[in-house]
Amino acid sequence: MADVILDIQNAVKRFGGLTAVNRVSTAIRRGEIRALIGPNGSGKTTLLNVISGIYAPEEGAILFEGAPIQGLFPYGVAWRGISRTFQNIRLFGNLSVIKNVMIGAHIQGKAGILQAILFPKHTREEEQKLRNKAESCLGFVGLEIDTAVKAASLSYGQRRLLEVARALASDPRLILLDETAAGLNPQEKRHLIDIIRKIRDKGITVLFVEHDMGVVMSVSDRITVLNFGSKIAEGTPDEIKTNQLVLEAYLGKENYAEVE
Amino acid sequence: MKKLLYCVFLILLVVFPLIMRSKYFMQIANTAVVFLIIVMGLNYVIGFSGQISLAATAFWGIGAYVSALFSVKLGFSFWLTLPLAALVSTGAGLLIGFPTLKLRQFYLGIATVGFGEIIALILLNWTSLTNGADGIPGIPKPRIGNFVFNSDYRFYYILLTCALLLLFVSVRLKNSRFGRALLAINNNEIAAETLGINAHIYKMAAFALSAFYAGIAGSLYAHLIGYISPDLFVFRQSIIFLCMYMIGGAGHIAGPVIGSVLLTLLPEFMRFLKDFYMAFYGLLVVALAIGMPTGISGLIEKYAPRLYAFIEPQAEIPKQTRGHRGEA
Repeated sequence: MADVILDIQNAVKRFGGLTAVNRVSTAIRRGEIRALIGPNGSGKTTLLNVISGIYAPEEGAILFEGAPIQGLFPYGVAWRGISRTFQNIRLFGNLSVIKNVMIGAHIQGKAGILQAILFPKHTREEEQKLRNKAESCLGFVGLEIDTAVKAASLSYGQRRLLEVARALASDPRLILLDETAAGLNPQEKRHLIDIIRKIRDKGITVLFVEHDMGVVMSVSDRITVLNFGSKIAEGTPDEIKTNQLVLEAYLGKENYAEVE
Repeated sequence: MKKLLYCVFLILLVVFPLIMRSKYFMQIANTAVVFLIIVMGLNYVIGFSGQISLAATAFWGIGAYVSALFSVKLGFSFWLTLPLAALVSTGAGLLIGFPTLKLRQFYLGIATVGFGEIIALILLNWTSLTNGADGIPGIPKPRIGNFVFNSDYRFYYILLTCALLLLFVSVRLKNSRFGRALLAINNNEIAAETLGINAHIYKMAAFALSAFYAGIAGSLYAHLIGYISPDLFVFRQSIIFLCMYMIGGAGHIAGPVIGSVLLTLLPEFMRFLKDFYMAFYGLLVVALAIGMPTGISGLIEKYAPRLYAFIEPQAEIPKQTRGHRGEA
């Protein structure tokens, strides 16, 4: 098998009596763009939360580059090389744009309290490095704005892009995007598609949750479909388009029969 | 230009005792500096990391008693008791911070109140060590060779040096990788964690830093006044520190300076109100809190960005500062 970066094996996550993620297995190859789709409540975001350490799976294993990461805290997952964005944007609203992205580059630095106070040459250089990194990430996503303004004062589309820039600043090898296209206008969506491709071209693997089928079909290499917490299909966009189970899940069995 | 203004300010602070003839006012000024150090420490916990602490007085008390006991009972010099007090207080901060900082908001607040009460009870009732309610008199003044810092005028310079050093530390920390991590936790803890920030460790560090500041303030206070007793280190005092902090403006470098100086001096200018003055003081605090929830520094940031750039080193001022109110 080709180089697998993320191997999810029979992951299970329950909330009380509800099984939000039910024995999901999938292997994501290094360098691919993988979409995760499914109707509302099918467990897509929960699966991202399980991968990024916000939830620990009750069963199963998640291997990142061959090493298990299930049960790690979110900061541990970040240090391994996975970063993410959130469905409901989670920026540091009171902080400036540049600080938001510099915090994204947190794991690129080492300076602690003592270095901050004494501020020796290598710490000065590190600060400059983080700042440069942040600026290049802002440029990468095409956010050319005054970086001193607070993140909360940006427009919705800019906030989405800022969150992507922040996630990129840690130099991840796998990036998880949670419904980044939601609420964007068609022009912004096209821009986002370009960015996702550019991210992949940098050598970063992309796993993204998305409702917008236009975005999903045009950018994904492969698509994984969840329904009621279980994986019901996986394949290329063309395969998914014609998959019976997927059409039923999205349109309902009876409706689908009528369309036929 | 900015550097020049800082220099002028520094010179004013240095010559201040030379032009201040009132011995009484000098005493007030010294107390204000002690409080300033404690309130600056609060900034790490409340302003930067966004947690609640009502235990400042407890750490202040620990610093004061450690300093007093080591100097009175064992004859240690001030130059040793000061770092000792800071160390013990920081240790206590880490110890109490480890379990409590897993709690959130209110629960953390209550836990820190509990800790404060425990310290107050220990100071009062462990008579063999602390002299109980009688307190510890005769705490020696610091000296360098034959020079003794035995007046408020002389002691002021020790206080000023400590306060400026600690102010410098907080400026450096706020604009560092460490400070940004604390601010990130304050703004959105989950996002901070997914970026590789271990929130619990950072919160503990912030808590320990505030205990460090309060410990230093305690030691300075003990040697400044020469007598300490448990009735100083009560819960009410923590509330006063919190008022100073909030009115100065949370999260800003200048906030603690403005708040502590203002609220220490304010009662002195209201003496003419005689018996009613505490009531007026309370009313004024309420009015200030309602009228400007972001504190005085917050008002300055909004309405006087240029002044703000002066009082907040390395502040980021957007290019076109729009004057409109109310953004999230």
